[in-house]
Amino acid sequence: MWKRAKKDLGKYPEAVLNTKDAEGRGVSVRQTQLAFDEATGTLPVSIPSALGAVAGPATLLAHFHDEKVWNMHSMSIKGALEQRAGQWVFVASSYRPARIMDFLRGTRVSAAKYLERRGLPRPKPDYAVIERLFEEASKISDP
Amino acid sequence: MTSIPADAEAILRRYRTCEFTTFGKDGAPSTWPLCARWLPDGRFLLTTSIGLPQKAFNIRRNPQVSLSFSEPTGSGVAKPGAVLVQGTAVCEDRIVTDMSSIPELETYFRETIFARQPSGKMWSSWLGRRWMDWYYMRLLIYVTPERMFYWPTRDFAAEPQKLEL
Repeated sequence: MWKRAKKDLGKYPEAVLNTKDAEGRGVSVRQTQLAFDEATGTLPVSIPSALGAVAGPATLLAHFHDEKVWNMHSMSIKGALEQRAGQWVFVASSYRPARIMDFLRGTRVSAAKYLERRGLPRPKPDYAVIERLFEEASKISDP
Repeated sequence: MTSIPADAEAILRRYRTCEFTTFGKDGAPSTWPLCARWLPDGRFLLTTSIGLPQKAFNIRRNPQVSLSFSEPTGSGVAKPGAVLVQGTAVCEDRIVTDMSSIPELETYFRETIFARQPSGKMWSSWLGRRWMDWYYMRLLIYVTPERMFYWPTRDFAAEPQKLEL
């Protein structure tokens, strides 16, 4: 059932488990061992006790960018954090592979809806400012 | 608790992305990789496009957020550990299209985005302007940190240090 999630997760050396503590604060911990079981959709995770994580909704995010913050890609699995035999386990509940065309179409639609619901005309980005900032940025040697 | 060590500061200032978490209507976390800038007043500035507004909607419903700085690629940080920042966020319903209109936003785009991501010029190319103009229709997210945890090494199973703010 979780074959595709397992395959996609296999492209990343690490992933970040995201959940919350008893007061609702966000808790994120990078996982360096990704022993995801494609039969059950489960992944044993390590969460230091100081963070006070509690069982409940969770996500697993894996993402990549290169040295120049480019060639970016990511994936996210929704699920829950559970205690099983004294160990934390992430239990997947849904996974939808990212598709670039869905992303491009979805962002255009979301932007149009955002403006429409507020009765706003489509604003025009100030590209002269953006070009100036890029020019200035190119002179920064160690950003 | 300890004050913020220099190595943790380097992580907060130099890591290119963080894992930014907000919470949806059902209480489930939604996490995206995002660029964040640590401001001189101690807050963090992040932005999102109106083409990806879910973070903004979540923050307006529940201001609790977290930023996990755990991906060192490109940062040049000598001791790449991790820092988890827990705090509260505000995201006004104001769409910004002039990146020089707010001083810290101008610095954010110049130093945190453009200098580190030169290929981002694509977003203002002819194609970008024609099909992805939403990219530069930005909502600003300010996060006030309340707690921080620091892992000095990449042993994330180890107990982190709680930092004094």
